[in-house]
This record gives sequence, structure tokens and C-alpha cells, in this order.
Amino acid sequence: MSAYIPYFLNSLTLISILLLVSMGMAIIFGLMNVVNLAHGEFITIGAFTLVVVERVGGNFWLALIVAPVVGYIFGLILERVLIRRVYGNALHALLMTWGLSLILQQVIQLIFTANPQSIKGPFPGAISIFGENYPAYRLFLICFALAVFVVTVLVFKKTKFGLDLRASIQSPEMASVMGVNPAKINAHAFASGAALAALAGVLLAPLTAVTAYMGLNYLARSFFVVLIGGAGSISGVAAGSVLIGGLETFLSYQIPVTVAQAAVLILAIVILRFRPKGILPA
Amino acid sequence: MLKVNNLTAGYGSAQILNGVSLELKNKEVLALLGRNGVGKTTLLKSIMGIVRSTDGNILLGSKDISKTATHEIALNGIGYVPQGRGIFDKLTVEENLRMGLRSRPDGSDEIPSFIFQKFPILDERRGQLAGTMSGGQKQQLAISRALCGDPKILLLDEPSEGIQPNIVHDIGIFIRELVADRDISILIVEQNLKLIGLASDRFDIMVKGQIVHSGTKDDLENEEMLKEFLSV
Repeated sequence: MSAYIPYFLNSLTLISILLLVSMGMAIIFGLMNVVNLAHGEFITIGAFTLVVVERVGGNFWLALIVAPVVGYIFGLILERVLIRRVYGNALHALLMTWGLSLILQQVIQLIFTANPQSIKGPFPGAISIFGENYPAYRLFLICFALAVFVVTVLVFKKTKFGLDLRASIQSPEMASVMGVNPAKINAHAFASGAALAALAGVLLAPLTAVTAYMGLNYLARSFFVVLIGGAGSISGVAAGSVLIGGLETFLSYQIPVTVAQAAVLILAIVILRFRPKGILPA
Repeated sequence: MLKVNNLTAGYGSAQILNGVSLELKNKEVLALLGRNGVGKTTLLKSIMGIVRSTDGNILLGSKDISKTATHEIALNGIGYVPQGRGIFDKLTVEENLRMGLRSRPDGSDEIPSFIFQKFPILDERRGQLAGTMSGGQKQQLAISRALCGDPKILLLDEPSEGIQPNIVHDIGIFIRELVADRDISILIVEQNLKLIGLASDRFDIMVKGQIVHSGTKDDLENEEMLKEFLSV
């Protein structure tokens, strides 16, 4: 029994990260029909916010507050200046966000060099669970991501903004007939998605090499999470994250990691063949 | 109240409205009749800013709203119930009604009590997903949602479509009561002559994107006129 605990907790770690990264992407894709290829760079921006905060004397906890704010403001500016010009043209959106992704990677590399940045993790120790030691930080990450997910669901279900967002995802035209300003809702939804990804970047930074390209590792996976779960659906994101994250971790213990990732993607394609709108579409 | 002057509009290179002019007066119900494809729905969509006009103007009072964004038109007091009802299927009945409150001029977040008095089924099914309701209940919800915004003008596009005859009659009575009790004017696109006879004060007939004939509801008895313009 105890031998399975690290498997299970490692699965939960990846599921938690995918959950945070994919929620923003799902909202952006579901609402604006924009496949944001620069979404991974919001993760990178979050991680580098932690780097900067630590360099100026701050710590992980301060970065956890600052990074979503930075992500939100950056997302808001990006949406106002660039993204809103390509609504309704999926190909233009794809090309623009891809170009943006390349530019952001190079700018970050120019400023911080190509070397991985050093990060101080907030929890150095481990906690014993059923006799198995597991890193305390990973447990914190799982709990924190779950809390953020619950808050996001509450915002989605219980606030005016959430109601406007759900209505706009179903029918932007009817939402504006009701008096909802589509430009405003799109801007805040895009910025919120960027903030969630930046938050994921801070949480991810102590577990991985912080480089200008770190976001790329999660872009394809979170895109598949959104496709499998269903664009614009928060419950779909949860289902997709569990499926992709859980299966990838499980298979990685049985077969080589790259083969495991390929197998998960093949399974995703098979699922999409039979449920093209995802498991739990909006 | 609402004046449309020489309006032209369409989709891409296809021009649908060819200089439509009409006037909706205070507290009246004006019916817009015509065969399929003459531009009735396009006219309502143009008034709501969903389809952009290419010429002419739309005056709400003295304000030209022909270039105004859809959400601002809603905030200016025009409610719209589209063909097919435009219900948010994955929202509950109550959430649909709350969406209707977005355009209320007083900013109130209370669903008006007269809605539930008039349509008690909506109160009973507040928590039900709107997409699971029957066609007639959806129509009641769509009209109620538009009325939650306390509009000065209500645009109704084919409210009888797919509805049982007894509910169509109820909708007709409800429209009359609305105009009698509230400060509201209604422009209704409809094929059902019984509903028009019951609900409207007068009518305009559209042919090829223009108003070609007008009359009062008494003129609906004129079979020759109906045959000429509506093939009835």
C-alpha cells in the first residue's frame, strides 16, 4: 500500500499544476476561441517574477502574491494591444500568439541569460505519510492548487463576473444583448487566465529548471487537457487534468517518459475522436 | 419613441434592408409582417446593433443609436427576444433572469416580483437548467428575462414559433397587459395572425427589405391584402 503513495502524490502534483495552467487556457479558448500559444510564457513570467522578487530581497510568499498581479496586468495589456485585434480569426490568433511566445522567450533570455535561475524553495523538508517520506513543498503545492481551483469555481458560479463569463462563453451575442460589454469581459477573462498561469509558474519554479523556455513543457499538455475536458468548462479542466496528469505519471513509472507522454497524447486523440467537444463541455 | 429612417443593412455583399422606415410610438404594439426572408429579423438585429447598418439611422428618442454597440443599446432601454429565444441553456432559470437584470437602469439585483406572479412556473423551476425546459416555458423565460431589464422598448421575434396554441394566446394577453400596465412599447415580428390580432395596435408589412403597406389590426380582416403581401 505505502509503495503506491509516491505514485499517487506525484500524480496529484502534476494534476495540480495542469489544473492551474489549464483553467486560464480553457477560459480563453472557450470564451474567445483563441488558442493562446503564448500561454506557456505566462508560466515563465510567473517563475521569473519569483526570481526577481528573491533578488530584491523578497521571498517565495511575496512572489506568490506579486506574480498573479504581474500576470494579470501583463495579460490585460496584451489583450488590449494585440489579442483583441484577432478575435474571430483563429489562424491569425495562432500565428500572433506563436510570434509573441518566441519574442517573450528571447526577451527573457536576453535579460536573465540562458542559464537556469536559482530559486530558494519555501519548504526544504519532507513529511511522512503512511511511512513514506514525501517532500513537504509538493504537498503544499497540491493543497494550494486545490484551494485556487475551489476559489475559481466559486468565482465562476457565485459572482456577477462568473455569471457574465459563463453566459458569454455560451453566447457572446446574447450576453451583449443583456448589457454585458464583450470587450470588458474578454479583457478581464484573458488577464485572469494569465494570472492563474503566472501563479502556476511561481509554484512550479522550485520543482524545475527556471529558464526562458520552461513554459513550453506545459503548453501542449494543458492544451490537450482543455481539448479533452471541454473548452470553457472548469469541471472539464479538472477531468482533463486528472486524466492527462494521472495517466502520464502512472505510465512514466512503467515505460520510458517520452513513450508515456506519446501514449497519453494518442489516448487524447482517441477520446477526441469519440467526444469532439470534450468529456464535460461548457 | 423609436424611429427607423431609410435604413439599409445586410450581411457582407448581400443587402437585406433597402431603406426601411418605421415609427414605434409610446405604449403601442407594432407588428411587422412579411414572408420569410424579407428582412424582418435583420431589421430587429439592426436596431439591436447586431447587424450594422450601412445607411440611414435609428433614433431612440432623439439619440441616434445606429452606430452604438449592442450592450449600450441594451443599457439604453431596448430589450430583445430573438427568434429561437436565445436562452442560455447551461444556466439555470434564475441565472438567465439575473442576466436580464444587467441592463436595468436602476442597477437593482432583485428579479421583479411581477415576473413570478405572471409566470409561476419560472419560480418553481428557479434552479433548473434552462435548456431542459419545454418550448413554451423557454419562451416565457426569454420574455421575462428581457423584462427584467425594465426596457422602454421590447423587440420580439416570432414569439409563437414552436409554441402550443393555448400558450400563444396567453402570450398575446400578456403583451396587452404589459403595454396597459407599464411604460413600454413593443415591436413584434410574427407570422401568427391570431397573435397579431390579439396583441398589436397596428402593423407594417415588409417586402424585399422595405415597408410596403401599413394598417391597423382591423385591416387584418382584408383577405385580398393578406393574399397580396403574405400569401395567406
